Amino acid sequence: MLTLFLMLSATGYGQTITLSEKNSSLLKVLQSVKKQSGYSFIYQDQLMQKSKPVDIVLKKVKLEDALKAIFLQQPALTYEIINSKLISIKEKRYAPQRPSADADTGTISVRGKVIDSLGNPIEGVSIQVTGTSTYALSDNAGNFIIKVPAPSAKLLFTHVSYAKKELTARVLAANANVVMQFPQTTLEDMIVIGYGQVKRSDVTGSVAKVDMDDVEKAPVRSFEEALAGRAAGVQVTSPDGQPGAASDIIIRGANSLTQDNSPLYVIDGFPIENPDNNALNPAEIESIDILKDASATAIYGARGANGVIIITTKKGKAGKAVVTLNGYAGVQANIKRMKLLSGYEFIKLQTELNPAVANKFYFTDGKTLDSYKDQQGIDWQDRLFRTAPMQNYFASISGGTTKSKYFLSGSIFNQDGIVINTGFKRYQGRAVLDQQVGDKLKTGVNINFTNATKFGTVVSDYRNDLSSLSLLYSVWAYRPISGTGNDEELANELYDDAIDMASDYRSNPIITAQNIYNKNITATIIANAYGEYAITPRLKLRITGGLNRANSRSEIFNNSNTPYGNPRSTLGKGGPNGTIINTQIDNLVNENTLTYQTKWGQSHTLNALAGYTIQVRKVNSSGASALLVPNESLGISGLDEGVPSTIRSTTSESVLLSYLARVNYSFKSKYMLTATFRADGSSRFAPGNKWSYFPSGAFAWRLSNEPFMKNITVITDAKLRIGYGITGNNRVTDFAYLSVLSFPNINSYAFNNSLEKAAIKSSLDNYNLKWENTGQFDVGIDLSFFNNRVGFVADFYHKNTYDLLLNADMPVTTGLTKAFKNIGRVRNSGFEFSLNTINVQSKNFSWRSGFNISFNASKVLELTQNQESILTAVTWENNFKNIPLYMAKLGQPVALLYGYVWEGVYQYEDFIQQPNGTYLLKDEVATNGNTRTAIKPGDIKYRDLNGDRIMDINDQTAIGRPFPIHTGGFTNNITWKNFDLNIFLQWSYGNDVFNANRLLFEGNINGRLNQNQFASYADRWSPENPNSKNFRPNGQGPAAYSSRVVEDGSYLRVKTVSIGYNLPATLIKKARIHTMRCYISAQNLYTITGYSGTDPEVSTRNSALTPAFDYSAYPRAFTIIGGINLTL
Amino acid sequence: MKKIFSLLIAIVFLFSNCHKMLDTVPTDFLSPVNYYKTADHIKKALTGVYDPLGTVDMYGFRLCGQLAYSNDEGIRSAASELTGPAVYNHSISDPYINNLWTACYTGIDRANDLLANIHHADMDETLRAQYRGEALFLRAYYYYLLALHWGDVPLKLTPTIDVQSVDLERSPLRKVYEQIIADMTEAKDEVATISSLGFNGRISKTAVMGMLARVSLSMAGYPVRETSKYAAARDWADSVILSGEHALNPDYKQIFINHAQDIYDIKENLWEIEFFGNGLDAYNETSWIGVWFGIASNDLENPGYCYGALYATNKLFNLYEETDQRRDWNISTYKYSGTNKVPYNPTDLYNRFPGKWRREYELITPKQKNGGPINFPILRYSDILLMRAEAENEMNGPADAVAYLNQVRERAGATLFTEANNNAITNQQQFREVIRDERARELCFESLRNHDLKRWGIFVSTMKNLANTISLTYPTNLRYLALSGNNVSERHLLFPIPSREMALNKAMTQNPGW
Repeated sequence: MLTLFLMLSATGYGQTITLSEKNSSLLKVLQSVKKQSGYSFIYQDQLMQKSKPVDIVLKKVKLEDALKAIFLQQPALTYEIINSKLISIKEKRYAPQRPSADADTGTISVRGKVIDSLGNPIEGVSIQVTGTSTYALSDNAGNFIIKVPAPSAKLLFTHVSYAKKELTARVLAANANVVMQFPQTTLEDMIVIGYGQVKRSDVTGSVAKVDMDDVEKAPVRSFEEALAGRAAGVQVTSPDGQPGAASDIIIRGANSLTQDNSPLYVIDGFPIENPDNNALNPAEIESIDILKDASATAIYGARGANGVIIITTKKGKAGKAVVTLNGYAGVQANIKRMKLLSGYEFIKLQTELNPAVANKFYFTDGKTLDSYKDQQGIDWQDRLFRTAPMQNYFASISGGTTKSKYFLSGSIFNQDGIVINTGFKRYQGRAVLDQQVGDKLKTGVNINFTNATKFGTVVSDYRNDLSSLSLLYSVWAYRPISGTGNDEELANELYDDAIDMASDYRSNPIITAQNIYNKNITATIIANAYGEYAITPRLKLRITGGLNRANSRSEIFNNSNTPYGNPRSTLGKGGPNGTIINTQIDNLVNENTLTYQTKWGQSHTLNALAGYTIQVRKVNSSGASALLVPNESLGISGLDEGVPSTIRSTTSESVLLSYLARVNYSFKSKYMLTATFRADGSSRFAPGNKWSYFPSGAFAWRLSNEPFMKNITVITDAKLRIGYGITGNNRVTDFAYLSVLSFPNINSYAFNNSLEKAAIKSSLDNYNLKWENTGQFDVGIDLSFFNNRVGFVADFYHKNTYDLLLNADMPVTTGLTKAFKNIGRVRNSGFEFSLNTINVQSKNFSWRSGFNISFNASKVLELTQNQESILTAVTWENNFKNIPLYMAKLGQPVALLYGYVWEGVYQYEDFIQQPNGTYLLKDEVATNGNTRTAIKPGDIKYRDLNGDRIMDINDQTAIGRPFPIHTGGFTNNITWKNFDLNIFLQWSYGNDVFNANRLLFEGNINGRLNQNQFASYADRWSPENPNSKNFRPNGQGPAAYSSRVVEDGSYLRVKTVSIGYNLPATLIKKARIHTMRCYISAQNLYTITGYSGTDPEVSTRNSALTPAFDYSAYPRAFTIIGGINLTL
Repeated sequence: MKKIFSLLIAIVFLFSNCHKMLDTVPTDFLSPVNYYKTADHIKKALTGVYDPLGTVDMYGFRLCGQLAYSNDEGIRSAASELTGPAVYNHSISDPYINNLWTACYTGIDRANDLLANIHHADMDETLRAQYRGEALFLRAYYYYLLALHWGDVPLKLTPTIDVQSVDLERSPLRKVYEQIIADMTEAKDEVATISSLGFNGRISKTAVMGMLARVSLSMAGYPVRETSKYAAARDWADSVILSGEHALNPDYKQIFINHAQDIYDIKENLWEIEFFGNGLDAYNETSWIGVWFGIASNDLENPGYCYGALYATNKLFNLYEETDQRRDWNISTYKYSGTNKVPYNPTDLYNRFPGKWRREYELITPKQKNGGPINFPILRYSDILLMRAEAENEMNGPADAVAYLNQVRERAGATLFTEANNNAITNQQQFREVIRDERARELCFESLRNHDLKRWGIFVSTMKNLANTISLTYPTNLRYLALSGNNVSERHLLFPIPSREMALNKAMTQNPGW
């Protein structure tokens, strides 16, 4: 018997062990431990034949823990530390558990123990025999026994705090211990990139994966509502809280000034621009991967410049049918209402605005101001807002064999809005089938059907620049007090007789909201099919075809109790009327790709892809309107009885043909190279400009595989990425390069008492129109520390967009107001950081955090025709129609708020008192844009920038930055025993919001009588109250934007909190329930902000040029729900 | 392998065919390249040139609404209207002013397109000449509106073909007028006569001549003061008078009743902007004539809703003699209470409504609140006579001018200026004053007053006098009507160049005072 001693000097060694071994012999591992610790091992060499290969990654752990971890994987061996220099290796005294035939049932009993990577036993792990209903649970020592039909049976280990693990019974029997890892080890995650998947560790571009477990905790309609703050560099702006309203998602800043900046979506491999995200049930989404830099998006070429969001839905897995039932129900409530003037303050204001009119309305029958002392009047907000229910039910069944897999699901979602008569409903179903045919062919289909209905007043809707038509205008403006002694009179009539209907379109908000019939029903079918054929084991041909058809029907019926159907109303069209519009958008895709994958030598791997795709988009829309509908009680069905009016019919089509190729090469997983090329041909551009080419390249270097990094033991993994590429944006209308001659009804003329239609040129041709291109440089680093307990990703990017597509404003002296042009250049650059940590991980308690922050800065680099700036007005109020509020100026961000600098009000000292007692503005004091003689003390005052003492366009300047300096999110997942808690915070910092509501309700810019105001206007300038910064009634000056209503829109929001309880398996097993979680979730719990409006997260006229505008926004609701998740 | 090879061949073949897929053609609109081929194409394009005239931005509303008042004929009635052009408190971004500017240049661009393409069409030469003449005239008329409201403006006579070169300089007003006169003179020979047309919604020979008289008078007055144009004005007016196409309608009020009832009076009216229907069709070619200003009414059907946005001035009332039939037509003698007419107290002279166009005469039902079929006259025969008289007086004094003036007065039942009446005018200046008043008496509320006052060089002083009179003589509760006169200053002789144009056209300069 030969005894081999391995003895080495023990001096000068550290106390900790770091190991990274895969499939290494025990001997090799021990040699490594010896080198690091100085300990020697003593054993009989034949014992090594009983050793098992070791897979282990350890960073700076104590020797004892390292040994424990190593020998956990040695079923036959154990060890003993003999002294400070020597460790002995011995055979275990007991034999490992073997599968033992059960005489009665013909099954085999398997025993085992579940432990974590430090050897602590884990209690409550569910062990299920895949494809059967047999399962077991581990006890408090981690031990379990389960019966399996055969040694080849698979066992699935699941526990809320650990990553899932699957083993065959045979392996388990040989190993006895099952080691479950923390879920944070994400390096092995598969990331979905265009036309393929790669391991996170091999990604060369900037790609973010959204944690769907977290997103699913939020009780929301659509994934986009929960996406804000989840991934660095992804900015989600929802205009307001209207149920069913789509959010704008901008990745790494807006490239394009007037064109759509939303990313390309790839849903189950199907690229589509602007899909209806309401058609997807968030519960069915398996993963969301966001491609951010050009190297990642270049494979989508002409449509990649705005980033790509890849959504993969859930699919069936081989095994027994798994039934999932989820349901929740709860309520939503309005968080914040604007405080309005009390009845008394309202009357007082009227007397100041126009005493004569006030006398007529309020001081008849001997009433005086004091008569209204305690009157509050009608609280219209109270009648408009409600606590509204929301519920969601989801069921799915999935399973299959190794050859056939299926996933079937259905869901019902029903949300009433917090404004009366608004809401959203969705019915949805999905069927996914995958089938292996023979050895070489795989096919499958994925079909989703959704019927979604939005209904009710669109609160932020605007028509013809008429601010008084927006619903919240009527709510805030409507008189709380009628003056007749019976305020309810106001509540019973659609119109208030005291209102000048010629210019003020307010209507009773409650009657209006109750009667508005505005319904949008969208039926979406998404059907994809694929066939994948392995021509050789390394060469695969994949052919996919898909259809995304969105059929939407918009129904509007204006009955006589709405401002659009009342014959007395300015917009009433003489009586009840309605419109139905049907729109069908078809996207058809065929994609054909060849993938070749090979390895040579030990070190080289290559993955090459080539493909050809065709995408056709067809739009057709038709509809009709009728006026003077005689039987309004029939509603939209009665339209046929009315007087036929406009008939609509439009069709259009665009085609995109593309060739694509990509090579991924990796040398020892240390150096990785990606090169991509795509050629896109689009029918949207003129001949000669149809084709464009989009190359990109990226390089990644895994530093942690270099010898010099071996000694930096805190770092588990480190990878440096660098890439550059060019991508495009083709978001122009289908025939933007052509002049359009059209025949709109409205452009007619009545010759000789009969109407004749005109042919008018509605747009100008521009055959030079070409793609907007974005060149993007990205450098990033992925770091992982402490055995993957900490993951850190940092990216810097620099995007230059040139040949900017702009639907440019034209001076009308050219005859047209707008034309498509390629103009100028814009740059976006920024940093993104994300940090994921496991703060605590113990037997009963775990705490994981995810933090991300993004900084983006945009800059206009060049505008054509030597333009210094582009000024943009916002459509909301007629008197402000031609006053620009936004400026895109060379060297500045793409949008800045623009206007006068507000300086409070004129005081008496700015005037000289005239002999007749009136006040005349001193010559050296600047005007506010009114004529000098018309200005009075208490009028609004602006800063005279050019010193000419006249307020005009030359005194307008940047008055706010609508874009945030940084945005981000912070997620915490805490588990304690069977409880789990998810807290998600989201913020935006440094952005200004233009609170246009205050123009009308904190000073009444149009000088309208009998219009209520925000409570803040109770404090206003008067001779007795000269220190107030609010101007006196009628002191608003000429229509102008100023810094007065620019507010800091920074906020920190507790966005989602979810508390769940997983019922102990022992308890629910009898009910044949596999897992059961009960939970309470809340959304929009608390917001810290200095913003005075209802919500700082607002942008009711959202576009790259006009962000952060707040007018009549649907308030965002606080939602709280309770729910149950079950799997059977 | 063979299979793969043939598959690849098939794919390559497929690709080469597929590239043709990119050559999509629009299915929903036509391109101008394929247009202007037939007489019907040209006719439709010409309709596009007329179209801006009937929009709310022009004669559909604003050009006979807030952009034409307040003045010494009518004053904005609402005490609450403190801003905007109707009270001369508007900014350079005023939407109505911007929209008028836009409407003018839209019409000009459409005319330019038509004029550049009309020779392509396969059509009858007479009709081609007629359509060409109409387009040429309308372009000139849009320039005339621009000249009246803004003075120097960019003169663009060819279609826009390039989206890049957008900076257009202003041409001097004199040059603009010369172009207008040249184009109208050319158009005169091409368009049809009004008797052959049978209606006055299209441009006729006499309409062009009459408009040439008006343009000449404008050019002769402030600010160009090209006094040699008085002769041209007289000659053009003469050519209308001598054409034999026109005559005065014996009944003054019937002219305006006809407007409401879609009846053409091609003798009296040389050119009308046509409106039609009640807006409850897809076209909505209705106007706010009689709706915005008129006799205020709350009743939707009888007489039809009217905002009563103007009060006729006491000055206008006092200009008429008791016998002048025009007074009680142009200034209402009653107001409405529901559908009932309530006569004014004889002392209520300060807030009467203009009654020129009255919705009660509309025939189309149901009436719509915000729009009706009432046509708007641009050029009436009485105006031709008054222009003839004015030009004559400026050239040679009143002797031969009085007869034309008297024709107009005779119809109205007003005292004639004759020696027989002991009412003769012998002094040129005296006649000047009379003609100024007569134009108000005859043509009030036809959107001519502001430009008349401006070309006579008395706009600011007239408005200041008006404000003064109101402040001193009106009942206290109506003295707020002095607001517009108080606000007027020299800068209101021209509209500001709209802020949008200033921002986009780098060659543009602003008008004085703005």
